[in-house]
Amino acid sequence: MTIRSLILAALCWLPSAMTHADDALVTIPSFRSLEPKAVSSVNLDLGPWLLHLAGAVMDDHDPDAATVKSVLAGLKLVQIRSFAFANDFEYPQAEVAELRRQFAGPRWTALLQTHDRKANEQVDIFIAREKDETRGLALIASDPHQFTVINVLGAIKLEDLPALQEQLHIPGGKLPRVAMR
Amino acid sequence: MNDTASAVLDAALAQARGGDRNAFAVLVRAQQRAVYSLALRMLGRPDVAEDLAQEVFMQLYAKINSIESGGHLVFWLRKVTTNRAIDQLRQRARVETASLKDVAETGADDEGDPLWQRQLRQLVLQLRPDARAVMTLRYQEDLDPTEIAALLDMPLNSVKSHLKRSLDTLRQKLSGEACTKS
Repeated sequence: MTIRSLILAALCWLPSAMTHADDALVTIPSFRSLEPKAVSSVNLDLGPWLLHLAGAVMDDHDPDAATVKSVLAGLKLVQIRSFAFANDFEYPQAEVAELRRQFAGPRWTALLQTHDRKANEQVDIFIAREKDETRGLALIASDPHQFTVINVLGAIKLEDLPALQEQLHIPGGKLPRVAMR
Repeated sequence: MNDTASAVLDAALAQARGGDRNAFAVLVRAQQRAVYSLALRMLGRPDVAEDLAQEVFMQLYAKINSIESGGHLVFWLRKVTTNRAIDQLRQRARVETASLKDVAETGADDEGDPLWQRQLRQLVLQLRPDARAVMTLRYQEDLDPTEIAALLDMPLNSVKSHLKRSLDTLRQKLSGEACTKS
């Protein structure tokens, strides 16, 4: 094998190495196949480069921006999946349920879980901690018309989530906000 | 890089310097993501970034005996990747990304562009090569201005000036209102 082919072989899975999968504490599917059916959708993976750069361009003199800047500085990864549909359960409930199951692992602690069976609404917030430090925060909210998944890797507090959520302009964000009260 | 990763890199480097191709492949796999992501952020195109990553590792193979440690390897890869990317950008006959006008027009659409991520990606790709390198090394590689100056053989004040001017430019291009209203 020539050295070039050896290098090519080693590099052959490069694009998949850019998915931040190594960093994430859980695996969040892209749900790309849902985009054509959704009336609105957000499908984002924001790595440290963008998070820190976005923080740097925010106005230092704006107190609201200062809060978000300090939150962004501690983050490594933000993944957002948010889909809203015209009709009930146009999304695969099994996949959302599987996502929730991932957070049953030993790294995660449920901070808040609400389930309105009559309205089919469920909100779960999980936190990952190691050595008394927050490693991640995750939110999964669903009702018949929409679901939102937010996975944040890095140092974040629960009370920082609304400011971050507002900055990220997440559609369908009312469910998480209800949960924060 | 933690101590374990550093030790693995040092061990693989020692073997690779002795001609062990498998050890060299270990080095490539350990550093490919860093090299590719730096090239991609600089050049903006996955295919071009992959080609550049290949060339960087070919050059590394030729120079492997001059690499003294894992830390030196990381420094060397960043330096060569950045300098090769700057050279490519300077050789490009025309800007391949969206025009500044296009970006300015998307500025009002921050509701659909969380954290202005789409605009920021485009705007960084329109910075001059040196400024783009400084911004990428600062915000992607998390290097401080002193480290960037050493890597690019650039005076520290020039690095600081690039950072300030680039951030000012980004703030202006993001139409001010989006940044200041938060």
